[in-house]
Amino acid sequence: MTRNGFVDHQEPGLSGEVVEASTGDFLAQSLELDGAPPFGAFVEVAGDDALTVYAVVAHVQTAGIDPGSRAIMRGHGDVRDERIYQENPDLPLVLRTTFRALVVGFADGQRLHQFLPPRPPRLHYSVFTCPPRTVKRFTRESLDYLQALLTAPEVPSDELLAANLRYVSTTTGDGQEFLERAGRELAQLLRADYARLTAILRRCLAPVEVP
Amino acid sequence: MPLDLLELSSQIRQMGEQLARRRADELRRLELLDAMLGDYRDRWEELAELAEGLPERVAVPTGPLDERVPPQPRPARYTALATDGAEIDPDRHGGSGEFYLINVGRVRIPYGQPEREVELRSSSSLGYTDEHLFIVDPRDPRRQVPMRDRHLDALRTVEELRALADLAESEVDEAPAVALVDGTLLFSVLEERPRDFLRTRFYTDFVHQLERLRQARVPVAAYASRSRGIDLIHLFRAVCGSTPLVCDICHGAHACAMRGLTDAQLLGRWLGPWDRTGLFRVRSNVHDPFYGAHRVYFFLLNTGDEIARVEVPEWVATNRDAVSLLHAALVDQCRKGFGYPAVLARADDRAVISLGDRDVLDTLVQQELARQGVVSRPSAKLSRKQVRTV
Repeated sequence: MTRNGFVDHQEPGLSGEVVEASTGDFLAQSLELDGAPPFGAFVEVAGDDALTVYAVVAHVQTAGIDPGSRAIMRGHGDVRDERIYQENPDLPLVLRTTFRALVVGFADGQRLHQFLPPRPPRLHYSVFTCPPRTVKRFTRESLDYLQALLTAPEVPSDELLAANLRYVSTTTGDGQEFLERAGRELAQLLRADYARLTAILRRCLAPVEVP
Repeated sequence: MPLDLLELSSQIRQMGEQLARRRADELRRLELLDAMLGDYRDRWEELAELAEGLPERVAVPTGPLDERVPPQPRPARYTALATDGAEIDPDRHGGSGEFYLINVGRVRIPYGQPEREVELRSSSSLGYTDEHLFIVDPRDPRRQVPMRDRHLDALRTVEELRALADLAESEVDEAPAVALVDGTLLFSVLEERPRDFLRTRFYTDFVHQLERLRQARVPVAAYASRSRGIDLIHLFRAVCGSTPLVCDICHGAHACAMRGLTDAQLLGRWLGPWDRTGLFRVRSNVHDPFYGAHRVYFFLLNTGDEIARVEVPEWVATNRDAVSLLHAALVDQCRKGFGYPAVLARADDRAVISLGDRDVLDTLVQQELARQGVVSRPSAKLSRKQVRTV
């Protein structure tokens, strides 16, 4: 994997750095090119004041660092895929992967909240992919954050929600039990929209094997 | 809208017609010149001898005129170095006082060496002291020339080559390296009087950087896209005397058949894709006394869509392996960069000073002046431009 303009870091879970921050979401540059946390994953940004912001990855993009530059087709003959990067070793320095994460809650000392924090995360602070025990802790007591995902603007919210539920169920190892709890929560939230509810739930089921 | 588009559109139409006529005329004249070129094709030594005795800047052939050299296969491992620069001129009308800025993009791309790091950087420097802002005649300190416009261009050219020499000196001998700058090695320095001190100042420093590159054994070249060079045209005009009335080729036409043509048009027609011409030395009364062992040679290169001119110093031109490496590397670079060397494009990306960067710089300078209690105010003319009154 190629680095994305970062110096070497070995800290486990370190995924990127905040490059745009606002109350409801933030944009982070991924530590490695094409190395963003998965769509729907939980990430966290800790501040200096015991405030840790939790967010769900809602959009991942790889493009030129310079806003005016566009990637163009570089393959020719048998130069394809990884060979293109070998032939143009400067590419990883002019491309970057960014991910946008929706803020779904925060920790204030020992207390967890599933609503928006008083301040957005600080610019240039590190973004970590949440370890399984944090995901477990965040989703154990309450699933109020699902409401935020359902109503998130400008993202494929049904896909995001389903991706997040799949992510939590596999990361925490709670699997079926978590999905059942989330299903009950969703049924409450979408009691007036049965079609949408079933569409989301179908996306959460284990994939059907193609014969 | 300040442009009178109605008036312009009819002028543009006339210009288009004129350009089409000129293009057809050029093709016709090139056909006329084929006979002359054919005549001199193998008599290049005679031409070279003649060129040495001419007063104007001309190309001196070093081999048959129709020499065509295909590229060697691309080396599996090589390192491309390049620098490119941009500057901000001292702003007489701004309120921030007199200063200039030079920004040099420095790029090192090691190909086929996954263990080595790619380097894409830029270094910026401000010129604000009297020593920076004025070029002083060492023989007569009362003579001072402000460092701006063409002189600042010349300084930037020197700084580009200095950065390239820095890159070359830090190069390890793991793989062959080539060093590129955009434009020309034969940059011009305007002198107001004969034997002025300005050329000495810029050319001496420039040649010192060429010497550092030679010591580092990294072949250097200046690359000019779609060359408009006319050194060979000058040679032929000198040969034929440029007297169309009695000329066998012009047949009494009202102007010389070579008028307005370029070396690229003359020789480029024979080049297949990625071929280069033979080497020509540029004999220049302005540059040669300063350049010494770094006298400049050039060849033309067909990059598929256009003819580029590649200038090299003498120690590269006389080293067959170095020229061959440069040629192969440039072909690879132009392929990667879609017609323009990829490494130079990266250096240009790092050199460009955007409007946003200019604003940030202005703000930083204003803040510092305010902190120091210095009043800074734009000139009345600039204020008028910034705020349009009706």
